[in-house]
Amino acid sequence: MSKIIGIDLGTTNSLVTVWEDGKAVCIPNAYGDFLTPSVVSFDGEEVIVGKAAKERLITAPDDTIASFKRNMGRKTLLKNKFTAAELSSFILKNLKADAERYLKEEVTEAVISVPAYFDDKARKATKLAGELAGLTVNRIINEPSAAALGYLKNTEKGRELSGDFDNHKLLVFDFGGGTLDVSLLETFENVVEIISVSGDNMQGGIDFDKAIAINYIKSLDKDPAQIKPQDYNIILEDAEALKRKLSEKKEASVKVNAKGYKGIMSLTMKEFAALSAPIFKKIYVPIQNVLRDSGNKPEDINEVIVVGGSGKMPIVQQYLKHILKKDKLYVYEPDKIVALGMGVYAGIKERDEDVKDVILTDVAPFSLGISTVNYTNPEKPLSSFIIPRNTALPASRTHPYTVLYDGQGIIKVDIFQGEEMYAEENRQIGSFEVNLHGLGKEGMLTYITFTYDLNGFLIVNVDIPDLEMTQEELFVDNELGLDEETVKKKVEQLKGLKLVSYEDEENLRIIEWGKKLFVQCPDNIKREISKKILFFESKLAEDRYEAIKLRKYLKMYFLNIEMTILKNLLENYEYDDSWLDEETRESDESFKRWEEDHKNDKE
Amino acid sequence: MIKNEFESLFAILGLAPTNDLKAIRKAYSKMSAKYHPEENPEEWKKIHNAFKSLTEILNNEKGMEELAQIAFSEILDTPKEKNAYYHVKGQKAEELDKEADISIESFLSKDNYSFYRFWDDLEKSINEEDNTDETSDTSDAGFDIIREFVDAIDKTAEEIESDDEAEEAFWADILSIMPEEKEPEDKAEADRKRKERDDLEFFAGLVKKAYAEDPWLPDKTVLTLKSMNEFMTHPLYRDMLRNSKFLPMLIEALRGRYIENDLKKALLEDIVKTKEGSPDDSLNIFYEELKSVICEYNYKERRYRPTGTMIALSRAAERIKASRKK
Repeated sequence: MSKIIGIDLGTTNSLVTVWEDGKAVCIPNAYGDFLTPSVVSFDGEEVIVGKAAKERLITAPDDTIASFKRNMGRKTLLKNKFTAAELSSFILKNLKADAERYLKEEVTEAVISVPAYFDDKARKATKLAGELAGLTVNRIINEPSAAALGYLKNTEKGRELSGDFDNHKLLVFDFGGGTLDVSLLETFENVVEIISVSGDNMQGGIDFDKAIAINYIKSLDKDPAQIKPQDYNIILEDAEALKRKLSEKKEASVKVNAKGYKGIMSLTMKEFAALSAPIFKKIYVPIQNVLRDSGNKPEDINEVIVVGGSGKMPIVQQYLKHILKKDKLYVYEPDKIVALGMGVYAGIKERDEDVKDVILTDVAPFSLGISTVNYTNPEKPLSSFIIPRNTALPASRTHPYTVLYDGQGIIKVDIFQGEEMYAEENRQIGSFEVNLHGLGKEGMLTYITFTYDLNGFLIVNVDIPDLEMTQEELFVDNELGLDEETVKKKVEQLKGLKLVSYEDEENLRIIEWGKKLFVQCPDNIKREISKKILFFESKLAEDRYEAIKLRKYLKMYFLNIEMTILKNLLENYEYDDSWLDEETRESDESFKRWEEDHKNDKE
Repeated sequence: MIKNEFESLFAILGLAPTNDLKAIRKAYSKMSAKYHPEENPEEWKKIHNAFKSLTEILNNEKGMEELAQIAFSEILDTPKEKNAYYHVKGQKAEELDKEADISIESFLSKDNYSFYRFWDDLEKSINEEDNTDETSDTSDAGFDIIREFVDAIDKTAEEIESDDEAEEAFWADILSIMPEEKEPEDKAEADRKRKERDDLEFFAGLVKKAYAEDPWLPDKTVLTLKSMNEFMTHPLYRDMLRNSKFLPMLIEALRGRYIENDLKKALLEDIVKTKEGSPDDSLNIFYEELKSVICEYNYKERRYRPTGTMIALSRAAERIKASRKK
């Protein structure tokens, strides 16, 4: 049986894992990193993914896109050319290639994680992304559930905790780059049960960066709405650096080099806390929700697991300890724990002896229902919930409704998700019609059944016994059909675009890195950088082998510049080659010779 | 849910009916491993469903009625519970002794949590693994202790009765809503009363009907509450309490979801108080109903709040039981 891979398709970073020798293992990408940035960039007919694409956020902001997961199953992005599912498929293709290289065999099946708060549409879009990348996705797992699985089945402490038949309550706080998921679960022996989930898929670590960036732009008396995307991305990156610094120090500053926004961005911990107060307020809501929905108090929680990059921030942890009344939280590789959990699930799916018996159950993240007539105000139909939120999955619930009047021709079933009383205030996820052929009679019973499967997909069934009529709708999205034909068509469409091959990737990344530094650094060394990039490109065209040798030198060179940029020492930057080792010094000499040769045609 | 359905949920998990959550978890875990969702999704769905329903029932007041009908005697009379009580007593003998010294007023006051803690501990230890010493002679002794406990409650209640002030406090809310009774003066008056009684019977029927019908309708809810208030302040309320043919209706009314808790409590207390002295045949039915009401109370309050009602109920139930044995 071929291996199944587990994928954490994150908003900012993605990871791929596999179940090996009784534990989940992260698979490194082309650079040897475990984290592949979830960024896609287009360069003509070429698609660049990951680290190289991330650099292009600065150099080619119009053709590059990040954080598209937030729009999964919603709108088309990047000048209306691609859907989030298509963009995700490029990332998945990349991860698949990494896994195949690591496992030395073809991979065709994957389990993918999604935020618990993903709706039916977004889940289907994720499945579609997998299919577009040539992966069968038979199981979609909620990220916090995966995190819990990773913690409970892949760490010593977790295994200890779930070793008996006592009920242990855990709260998973998954605070990633772009999404926030809070879930409460109970565990005993081989069972991991999600009891309630809540979240905010528009809330993430990036909001801290934005708050800092906007605060900075405002401090320069400029309008944040007017800023060019390129400059904004630079400031955002600096804001992120500042945020990271504030994780270690009480006060930090970062130099901003965006055009027209030059200056020093500095914050104290206190100011930062004040800036993030609105974010914390929003964070509190889902925590409150899960506790209330499950009927628990903070004291009932045995353990708090912090997941996601933003969970690493001390200020966030401090806040959690405070509101959940805990002395300590459990933070274990917050970047990787979801992926590791997915690795565990891959093991379960493979029916591996070690984890074969593990049961992971989930809940519906929001109420699902239909709209019904409001006699007091016909303009505003009321919601009628069929599957209330936090119902254990798989769930199948039936509600009786009645036909409104004699001779009614059709029943229009509008399906909504959300908790509001008026249907229109909820999110409509679909609609279909049942034709009664005019046979409807007032008061005729109509049974509507919602079936929500383990993956969080919805099936709606309408049954009218008097007319001996049943109609079943597997919820197919208007824009993103999952039928084979559409998938085939999409795959054909995307074939025109070529993923940059593995060996080119590293070269490309160096060039993109240089270009990014070029934009960021002060003028006095811009020329130097541009020359080095041109040299590398020319070598690449002439002699690949030579170029690959050069790469090592360029890497160190750029790293040096980047470090100096970070240290804000660039104004006094003087080129110093004492840090070079012999081999790279040689390369540098060859560069100097090339520089001499091209001196004239450059000026 | 009817008895068979309830039992079938246990059967799916391969269990005999029990209120031991741990045993249910164990069974679920074992069955799920056998019929894993990745292998037998359909089979597993049933198992998962049974587990979810059972845990919900056992954690929730909603399922108490069912449980009361099936497992009331088993629950209170299982050796396990006895052991658990023993365990609590053995472990916390000192604490319990201390509690015995506490005055009645403070014992029943809302600020005193020691009694609540007792229930808490009792429940906890039931849920724990049988770590009490099984070899000790508990099978009979345990029952004695239950009885002892009930006796203690009896005694407490009697003391309350003997203490004028405490009694006043205990029954204050009941007396406040009950109008004073007047003897019928002449025949015409008696006829009028009889007519009124018939009216009330009709009225009680209405109340009952209102509860039996869908309680979700908002206007019904209002009607119910209003009726209940009127009902309790009606001059012939006490007559009705004494008339055994009203009993089923009153108990039905107790089950109504939308009666305010205070009213429910008052009604319950009234029933108990009135019924106690009368050697009525209706007591037999009454006993069965009472059992489930006690159970409901236990579970609704999660056994943290043994109110005056509960004490009175336990006492009454125990007395009735004793009289039945004879």
